[in-house]
Amino acid sequence: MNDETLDQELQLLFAATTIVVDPDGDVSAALLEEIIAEPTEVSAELSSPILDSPILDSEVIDSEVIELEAEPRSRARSLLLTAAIVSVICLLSFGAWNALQSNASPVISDDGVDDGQPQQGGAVESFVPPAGSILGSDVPLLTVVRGDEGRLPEIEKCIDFERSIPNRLPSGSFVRGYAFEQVDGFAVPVYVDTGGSTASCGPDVAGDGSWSAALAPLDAFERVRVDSQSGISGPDGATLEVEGFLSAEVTDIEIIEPVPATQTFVRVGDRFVVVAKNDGALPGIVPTIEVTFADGATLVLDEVDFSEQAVQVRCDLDCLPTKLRELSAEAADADLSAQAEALVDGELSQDEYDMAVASFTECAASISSVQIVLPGVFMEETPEAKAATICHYNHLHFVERARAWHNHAVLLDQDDNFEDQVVEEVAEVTSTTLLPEATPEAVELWPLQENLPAGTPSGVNRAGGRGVGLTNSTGELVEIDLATGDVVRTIATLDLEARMLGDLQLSHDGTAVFLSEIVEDSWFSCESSGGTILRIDLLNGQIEVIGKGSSPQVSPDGTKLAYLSASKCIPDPNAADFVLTVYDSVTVRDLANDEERTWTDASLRASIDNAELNPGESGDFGEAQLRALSWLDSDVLAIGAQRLDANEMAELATEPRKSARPETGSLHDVLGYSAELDAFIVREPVSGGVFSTASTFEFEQYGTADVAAFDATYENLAVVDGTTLHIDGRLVELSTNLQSFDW
Amino acid sequence: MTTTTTKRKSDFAELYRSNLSAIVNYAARRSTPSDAVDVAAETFSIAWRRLDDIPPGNERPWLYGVARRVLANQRRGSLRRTALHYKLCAEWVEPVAQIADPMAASPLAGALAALSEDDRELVLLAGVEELQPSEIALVLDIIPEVARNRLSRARARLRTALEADADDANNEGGES
Repeated sequence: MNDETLDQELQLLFAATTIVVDPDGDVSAALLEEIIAEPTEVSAELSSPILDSPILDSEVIDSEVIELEAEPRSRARSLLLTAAIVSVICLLSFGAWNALQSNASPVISDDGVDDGQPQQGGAVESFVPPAGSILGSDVPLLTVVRGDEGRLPEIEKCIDFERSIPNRLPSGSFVRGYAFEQVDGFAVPVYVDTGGSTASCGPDVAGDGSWSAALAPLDAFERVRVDSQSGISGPDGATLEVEGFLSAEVTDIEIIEPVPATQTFVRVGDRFVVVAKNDGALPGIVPTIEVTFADGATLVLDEVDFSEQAVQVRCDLDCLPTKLRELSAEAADADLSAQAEALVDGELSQDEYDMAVASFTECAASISSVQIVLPGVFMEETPEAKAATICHYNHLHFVERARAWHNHAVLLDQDDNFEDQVVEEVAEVTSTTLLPEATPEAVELWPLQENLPAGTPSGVNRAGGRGVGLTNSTGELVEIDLATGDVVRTIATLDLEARMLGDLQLSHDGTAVFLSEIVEDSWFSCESSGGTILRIDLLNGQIEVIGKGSSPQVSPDGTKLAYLSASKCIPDPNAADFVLTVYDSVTVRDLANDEERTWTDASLRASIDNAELNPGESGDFGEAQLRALSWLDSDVLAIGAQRLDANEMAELATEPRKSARPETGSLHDVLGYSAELDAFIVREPVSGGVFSTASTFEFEQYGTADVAAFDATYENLAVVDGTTLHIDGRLVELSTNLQSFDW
Repeated sequence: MTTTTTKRKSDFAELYRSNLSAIVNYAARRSTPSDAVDVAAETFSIAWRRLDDIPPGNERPWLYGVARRVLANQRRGSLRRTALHYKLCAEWVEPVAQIADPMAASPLAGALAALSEDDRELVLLAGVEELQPSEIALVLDIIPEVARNRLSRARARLRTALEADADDANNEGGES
């Protein structure tokens, strides 16, 4: 069957399920009107509860919040645009920093012309930051500046920047780094991130993702500054380079976290580079650097959040005389690239493979820190820039293939016992200094309302046939009478605009729910990625941010809350203009005292690596991330792994626990683990077209469902389909649609 | 430069009319027809909010990228925010729902289901969405040559799966 016939067969296959849409029809027009009636705010994260969270005030900022005088928006925009443009220039020229400091800030009116008017700075003061903040306690530092309406005025400039820059960048170019603009004697660190046809920038975001250090005195950055980080990994380990500016008083710079196997500090004039080598892969976390000054003082910097993809614009035109390149060149000449690809992926001899790995190693060594300065950023794309971009792509492609092949070879050395492999991603909650020494005695499943003071408004009485749900159109958190389906009361109202809210998790005493919130911006910008864990008090409706992460899960005994968190955000390798948030750690919080213990990517990695996602396929498999937490019991947590760069995922799902193994398939929602059945209960993907799976539950054959939840005993499952609630063999008609539910 | 409200609305209306059918069906092939209506509504709501971010000339691949994330990140219940859901379903989906699915058990459907999601996406983007490799490259943000290679391999795997199914069927026939 040739390609044309195959395509015709595919079109026939889907013809019966093709939806005929008249875009000019009445209903289509009504939908259009409904959409354009919505507000068009872009930066949804700015009104996120996290900005108002006491966490920021107490743990990160812990100081006065300085209010800037509100600037006229237009002036703010032009100021920020100026900062952003200067930032990029600064990024691309090592000498630009000093020039920046010596010149007064340009004053540019809305039309981009210097109008000679002084800038409106705002009331700014300094304070000594708390220990652990990004510049250390010995540096005076200003904190987050909040303009009118609780917004960071600088963001508006960045939005302009994002909209103005993308089309000027050569396709595929990538710049990420920090630069600064001078405002009333203070430096505004501007974070710049461009990739593909997108760009973003904003005030400096600390490594922990919180907003801090929006302003800092100029001299804070005159001592030492990290400009970029680059790295590359290969068969012989990983090389990481951190480079930047340093003043004469700096005598040493050392990476202190993660601790590399070896590292070398090199100083050239006012530039430095630290070259570190690891045996394993590139570190996926923000490196922390300790700076030593001549007087013996030290300064810890952890402000640079560059993943290994950070400086992808690096290439050495001489780095590619490898077997792989020869294959590709020959194939391109003869238009036989597919054949070359097949050779690389599956038919290279061992000798050829060894040669490829050796060449890759040589290539990696020669390109470790070559950064291409893109002359095309603010001008027409030059032949040199175009060649650099092509070379960049070629290099990445070759490296990917070499790595993929290397991994494939390693896999072939192992017994193919995948089918029998038991993968229980278990993070056992053993006795630690953070968690209680002993498991609490018999847990009272229903600590009911009699324990509350007289007159306290009722929480959700779990034993009394009440549930809590989140409405899908209005974002109202409501208490539901499970006997009648009626809404008893509205507890709180959440903002649904540009947000995705996760499943509700009812606390054991029925007085609070936990859920995660992810803003839509997290698809497009790393600055809002990672999600936020919310706790909503059912007694008074108060919403509290308790951490950054997603997928909160209350343990069966109600004493612990587990959730996923992310330390990395990278450009989506499979979709232009998008980013991926990499969930790579699991935190378990003791709900009695709010103490936490975190399992990081490193401690989970070995087990995740065993959960090979695409057995039998060479190449193309990428990094994995964590997903789908589920408590097996109150001390053992199952953790699913998902392939990072695709919707495809493998999970501990659908099979009895003893044979649980990763499955390659589409998204699953894990509802929980049934000890009685020794099985994970999952909601399989909803699939139309010709794929046979419907939205089903393994536990009971529900044909379709919107949401579902076990009760606290894990013996009873409630399923919501539209406005119908299936519960205890009964059908209850709900008075509202729900997007999440627990009882 | 500030885009006027009128201009913004007319630009979006053009985007909407040009791509609505494609996005509805893209989503329908990856979810249920009913959900596809909501995925499309959500996708265009996001497009409205981010109209200035959509790369000129690559609107449809960008919309596919958003629809893909809507599918991945939101569950059925959370999608049904539009009051028009039932009207939309009635106009668009009901006629489809009445059509029997004669191909559900076809060898090609089985072979497609056996592919990895990446391979299936490539094959469907080419065969059903009728995108050229260069356009697929835009959707997946890879260079056209890589798209062509991966598509070639995906089609080869599809053919292999089809042949394996045929062999199995022949063997079963022979054994019986």
